[in-house]
Amino acid sequence: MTDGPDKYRRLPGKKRGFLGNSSLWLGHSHLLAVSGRFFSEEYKRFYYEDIQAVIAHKTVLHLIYNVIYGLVIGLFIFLAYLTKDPSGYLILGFIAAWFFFFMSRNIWLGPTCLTRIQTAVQLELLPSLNRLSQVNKVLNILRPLLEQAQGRLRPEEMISALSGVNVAAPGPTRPLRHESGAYHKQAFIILGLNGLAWGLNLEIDSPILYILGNTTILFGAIAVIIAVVSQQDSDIPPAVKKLTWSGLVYVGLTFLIQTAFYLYASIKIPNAAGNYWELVKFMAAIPSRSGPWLSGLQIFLICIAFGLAAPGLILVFRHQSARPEPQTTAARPQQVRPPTLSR
Amino acid sequence: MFCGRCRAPLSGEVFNTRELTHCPRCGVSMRAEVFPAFFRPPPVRSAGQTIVLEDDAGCFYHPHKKAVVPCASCGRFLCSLCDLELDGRHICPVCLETGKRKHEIKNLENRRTLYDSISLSLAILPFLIFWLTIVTAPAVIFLVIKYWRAPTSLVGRTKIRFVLAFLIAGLQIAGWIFFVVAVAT
Repeated sequence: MTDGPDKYRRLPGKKRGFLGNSSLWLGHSHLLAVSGRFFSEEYKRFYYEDIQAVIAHKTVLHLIYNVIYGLVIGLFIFLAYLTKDPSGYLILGFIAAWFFFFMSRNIWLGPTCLTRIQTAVQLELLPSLNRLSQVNKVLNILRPLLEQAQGRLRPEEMISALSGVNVAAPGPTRPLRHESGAYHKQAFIILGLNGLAWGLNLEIDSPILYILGNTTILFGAIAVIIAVVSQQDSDIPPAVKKLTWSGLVYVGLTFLIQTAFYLYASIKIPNAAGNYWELVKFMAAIPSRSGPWLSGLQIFLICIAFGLAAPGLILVFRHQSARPEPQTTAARPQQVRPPTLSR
Repeated sequence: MFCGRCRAPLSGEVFNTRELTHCPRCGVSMRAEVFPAFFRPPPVRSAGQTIVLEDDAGCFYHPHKKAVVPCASCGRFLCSLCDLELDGRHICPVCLETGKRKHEIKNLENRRTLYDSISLSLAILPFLIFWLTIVTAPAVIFLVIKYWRAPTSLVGRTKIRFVLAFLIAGLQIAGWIFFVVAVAT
């Protein structure tokens, strides 16, 4: 007993990531959500007669991308200007042009969103539909197929829908998992240490401090990524989640800035290309010796590091102290005497 | 149905507006497209009718229940409880389980390994450390030959990855042969 091959048509939208990609395909009786992970694919089917709703809400991710791209373009152009060298203009300008292309593409694609599909038993995220324009196109394609499978809304259903009464049974909700916040605590501590290292490096031109700063950034990146993954579907407060995501943006930005400093240093002292220690000494001295702009950038990064670490740690400690201790069998509940009224 | 951001329950005003509207609680811009299945209760399946007349055929798995349809795979008679409809075909639970286990029912497949991607990656990545290709190139040839006929992605793919992997591995092997001969002479 074998099935014939089902012909699938690709729908607009695809999400590409480091760990995998997602896409949506149209079959003759169902929608197929494909998640690719390294060398395998996983499939989820949503049959047309079962699809109850598609809900998309706008996110600010496209704005964040624009801000990051803009900052990076500005940084590379500024560094290219500082090199005062044709090769510096070319290399750093080329990198800036690439980021300008990414920013233009991000603006052209339009606002980002998170899309979910609801059936009677599940509420699933559709990662490939991450732009509102794609959601509109997909809904225009899906609507006639779902009308064919489910029929049209009857007038009484339409009236009850428009009457403001929520006639449907509550949608399925996923219970939140308890997360202690230990990973977040580590991530924020490392970010704080990073801010401290950069701050000391501003006063003391020490390659050791520079290397320490870079090492803390590397460990900070790992800790933040672990924290971001662990906070998914957890009871970590939303403010902590946002600070953690901001920490991820901060480490990414710092990596880019350090890369830009490295390119700047390689152009400024080409003879030291094979001597890493000379390059490190030069890069450690960049912020303090290259004028107020780069010192200002360093101070800005230090402020962000402390600005994330301090409130993050406070909120994580508050989350940890707010969680009630689980009762053990040996613990006896405290007996509270009712107040007595005296005449 | 709830807002994806603040989990507030949504009411009819935000349904099917065909343009962006706002969540009544958090104000996030959103679009909610709702279909008739949302308002209709799920169909209630019958537990199967008990045999009344002696001439009635009985279900293979529930002999006291009336058979309503034969299994499209094995031909056994099925009552309405055992009848599993999949893609317009009526099959029994045993054939469904067998079909899933033997990967014969594509609509039940939830996962596939992409051997063509593995082969291509194994052919390309060792370029970073070239001497590894002396081991990976033959491995790629082996993978291509062994998994040439294996099913690839459910959504359809050409064999281009296998072909490219084979060509790249072939060039790597040829390069090593040339290198060995050059060193020997």
